[in-house]
Amino acid sequence: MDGETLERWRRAREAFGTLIDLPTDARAARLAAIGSGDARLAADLAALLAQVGELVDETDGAEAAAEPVAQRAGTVIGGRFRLLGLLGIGGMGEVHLAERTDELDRKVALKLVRSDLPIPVARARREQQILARLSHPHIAALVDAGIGDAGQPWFAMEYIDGARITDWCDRRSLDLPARARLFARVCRAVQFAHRNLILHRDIKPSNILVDAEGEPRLLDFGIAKLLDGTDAQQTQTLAFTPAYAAPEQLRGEPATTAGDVYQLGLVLYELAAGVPARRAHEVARARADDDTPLPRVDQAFGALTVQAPDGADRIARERGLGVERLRRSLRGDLGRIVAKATAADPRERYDTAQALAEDLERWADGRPVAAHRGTFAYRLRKLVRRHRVATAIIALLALGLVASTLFAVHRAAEEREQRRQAEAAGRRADQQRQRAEILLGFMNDMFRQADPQNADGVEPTATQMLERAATALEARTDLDAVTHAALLTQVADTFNSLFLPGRAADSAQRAVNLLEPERERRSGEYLMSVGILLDALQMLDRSDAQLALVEHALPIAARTEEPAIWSSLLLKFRGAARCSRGDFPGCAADLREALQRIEGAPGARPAGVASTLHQLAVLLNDEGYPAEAVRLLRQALDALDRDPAALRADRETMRVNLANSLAAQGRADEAITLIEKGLAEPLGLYGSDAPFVEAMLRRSLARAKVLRGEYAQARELLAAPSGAMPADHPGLPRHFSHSHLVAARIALDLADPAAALAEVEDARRQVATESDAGATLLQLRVEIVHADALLRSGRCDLALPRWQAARERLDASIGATPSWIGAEISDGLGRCALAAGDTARAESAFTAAIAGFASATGEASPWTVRSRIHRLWAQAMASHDAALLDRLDEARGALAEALGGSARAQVWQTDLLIETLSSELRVPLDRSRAERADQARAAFTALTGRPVAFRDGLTGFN
Amino acid sequence: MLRPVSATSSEVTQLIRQWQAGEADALDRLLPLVYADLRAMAARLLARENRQATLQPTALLHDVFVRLLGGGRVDIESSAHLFNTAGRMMRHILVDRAREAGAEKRGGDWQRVDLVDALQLPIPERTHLGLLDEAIDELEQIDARLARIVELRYFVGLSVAAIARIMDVDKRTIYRDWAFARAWLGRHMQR
Repeated sequence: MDGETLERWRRAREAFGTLIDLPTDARAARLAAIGSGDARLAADLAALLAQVGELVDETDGAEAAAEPVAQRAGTVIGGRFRLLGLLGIGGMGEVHLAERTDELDRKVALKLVRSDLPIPVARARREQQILARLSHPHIAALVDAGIGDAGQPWFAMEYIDGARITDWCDRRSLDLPARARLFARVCRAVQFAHRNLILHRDIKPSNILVDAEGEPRLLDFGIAKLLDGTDAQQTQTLAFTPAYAAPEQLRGEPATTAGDVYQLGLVLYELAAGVPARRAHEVARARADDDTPLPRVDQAFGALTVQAPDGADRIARERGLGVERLRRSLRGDLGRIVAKATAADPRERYDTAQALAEDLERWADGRPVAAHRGTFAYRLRKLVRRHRVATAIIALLALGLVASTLFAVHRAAEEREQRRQAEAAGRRADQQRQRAEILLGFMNDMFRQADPQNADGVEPTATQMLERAATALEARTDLDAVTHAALLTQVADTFNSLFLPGRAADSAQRAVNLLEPERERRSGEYLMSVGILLDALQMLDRSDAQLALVEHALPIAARTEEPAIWSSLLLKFRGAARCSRGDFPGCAADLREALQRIEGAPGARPAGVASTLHQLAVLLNDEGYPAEAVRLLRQALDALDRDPAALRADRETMRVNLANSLAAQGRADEAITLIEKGLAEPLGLYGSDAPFVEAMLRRSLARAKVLRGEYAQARELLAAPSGAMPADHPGLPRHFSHSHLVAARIALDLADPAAALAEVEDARRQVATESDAGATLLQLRVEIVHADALLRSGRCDLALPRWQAARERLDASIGATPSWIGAEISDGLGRCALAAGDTARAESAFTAAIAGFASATGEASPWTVRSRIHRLWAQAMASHDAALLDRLDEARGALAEALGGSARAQVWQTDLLIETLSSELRVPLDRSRAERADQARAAFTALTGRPVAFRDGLTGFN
Repeated sequence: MLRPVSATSSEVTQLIRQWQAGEADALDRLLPLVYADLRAMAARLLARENRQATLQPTALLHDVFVRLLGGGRVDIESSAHLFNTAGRMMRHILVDRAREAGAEKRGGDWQRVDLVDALQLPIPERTHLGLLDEAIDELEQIDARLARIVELRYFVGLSVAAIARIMDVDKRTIYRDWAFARAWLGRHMQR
């Protein structure tokens, strides 16, 4: 700058300083005076003044305002109001007490607006008309208004003789709930105005008075709106108090109801903590991870207790509390309400002033508040600080929507690769960072669109949001292939965890396609996408696709940093696919191999191990080795407990399966406990699968109850409506089939083979529609129950071939290893043999059965004991040895113990068997045996409504 | 990205070394610590009743200044000196960052430096930091105090009252100066 210009500005600075302090009129006059002497200077000053609309500094409030002007008293405004005295000066202008010239007793508060911008007269009048219509008990009425001589508007409002709301509350030592209720009324007044499309825009304590009746009255409504320039683009904000302005207002954005809500929040801040928001910054530094510029009320107050303990004491007393109590109260829901009202992002605030009012009233009533929910965007944004892909992933995991154990495994590799790249070239690191930002920004947008007020649980919103995200992704052309694939994979993974495998498969497939050309260089990313796709394919039962994909991807695993982990994962999926196709030996082999590899691998996450164990356990259980399944599942659950990233849904599924396996072992009580726990958990985390999961849980529970002889309850559980289950859910047919089987068992227990046959028909029908060979095992069970029912109907001729066919199928499927199904078949064959009088054949069949059951379910399981009873029966028929009756008594005791009680169909049947055998062997009936037999008969009659005799052995257990 | 001022001096030393060795990350982590300290000092200043001008900077700040201002002994005689230096330092650092970040983008678009957001500095949105920098230089010619006020306000985020206290000048005067500076900047940067 040259010397002349410098001089010019120096003079301008001096003059400016004095001008600033003058009120509008005087300023204009002064400027004019200067102009007559030095036009240039005046022009400069005018230019400067044009920049400055509001000179109150953010942190200094009204202190810096100009001196009051006392010479106005007596002036008549608008021909009808006489100024009586200055009431105060605000950001907008002066407020005078005035009286009507025609009615000396009517007092008004007359606001002379000082503004540097001329207001179009027509507009001013229009606004005044609007304001005049605002009639509400808590809003100070506009009595009159006009335009002054200099073109500046004036407003005459009801004069409220009252105190500022903050002072009023303090003077009466109102407690927090009372303050909340009072303020809620203020909020409702604001709501009323909003509904009439009027914004306040200058809400602050001095604009909220409380009159002599204790009613709050809002002043200055809509005046700020009037005074704002017509131009929304103006970055200089005008006629409001910056100290109380919302962030977007300070940025010059057009005012909205959200801005009013923010300002209400600031006043609430002060009412609650006793610290004006603008001072809060100086009192408490904002925390590192807090996204709002404003410290929390409890923090602000807490800091005050340290810096100015007397002040803090006074504030607490003014709320009827001690300092500690106040701080704690502020930390609770009231603090959250304030935070939600004063969120920096307008979208995160209360939608309406009424919502704020309602939450305040709820809080005052002690009810839960809405401010609790909707913190997705908050949490996610906090994590934006650190620009690493790993952090992005943590963010997603923290939100609990991303399932993948695969992911957890991959992260270590990804991180290492990251570091290498960063070391290699800064440019690459920047790319990664960019990608992370895109990723995080993307997720951020997704979550931000979710309705933060959604109270019904995560699922519906997440699905909509994901679908929107998937659609949005399709439209993006700016992303490189790897980033695009990463995003698609994320989306797919989240779909998987919401049990929407169809959509997951779509997204995952596209990701895999994108990475295909680079699959060797980017092996880690590629395999991750493949893993997610496999997960989805498995849920969809597309085993062909699964197998093909695994074969294609296996060689790539060798190229990664952790070949053991990746190959283990792929083998797990191949095993699962083989199971689906009925290749059970192949399935088991793959799963065991997978398990072996992952157990030895460094860096393997427990969740990955757990998942493989789970897969294997399910297979074993289906094949009829529940004892081993139980063991594996317990291991798996332990592993999951050690993994903080484990998804709850996985844990719950394992628990259900564990319960089923326990029930399959006859451990009904343990099973019931587990299942009831599972039913008690909110099923929302299963997303759209929730009704199905619930139905499965009920079915398992029913089965366990049958074991305990609680038939009525079991029937109820089976009959429960299936809720909102989609009719095309892939797991439905098998579920129904299982349910019918349970019903069939109940019928058999209660000696109603005809009903059992009907249920079996239904069970078969359900599973006959299953085309894949994986239904084999289930079909086998159906066959077995069918044969049992036929036997009890006296049709061994029909039962025998069924059992034999089943045995052949079984051998073909899982080999000759002793198993539950095999044992059940043996037992059935034994009973038919016995019915035909062939005791030798029966005995050897029962021996095989005992061996099979013992190995599959345990020595003391109900099955094993039952077969023992059968064998004893066969032996008794063969040898007529009365001593066997005593052994039968023992076995009966063992059965009762295994079943957890003697009020069981099978125990009664045993009692009746003993009675029948007694007479067969011509042994006089022992007293206790006779009693038991009578009780058994009575029990059956009570249950079934008709007499029952023993025949054809004990009914089986499902 | 404000962190509680509990950083040990060894951590800070480490960060400074890293930054000097060219790790941009280190500055990200260092500045907030410095900033937090500055704000804390300003708050303490405001809370004082007496107007003692001298204020012992914390060891942290001393370290930082010594190293960042290029070796040798730096005697901070007064809080004014400290803060003025700090203001200038923050300004240069932030402007440099913005310049770098802008250079990478296509067309040299300046973007709001993330650190400005993180430190919640009250620089108006859409401010072109490069232009602001030049404008402050010009303002300095009119009166050095104006420039310092702007630096302390925009780059250290102090309130007018704190600035007045630091400079040991009447609050009203600083207020007027700030008003002028803002008006002048507003007009000057509009072109």
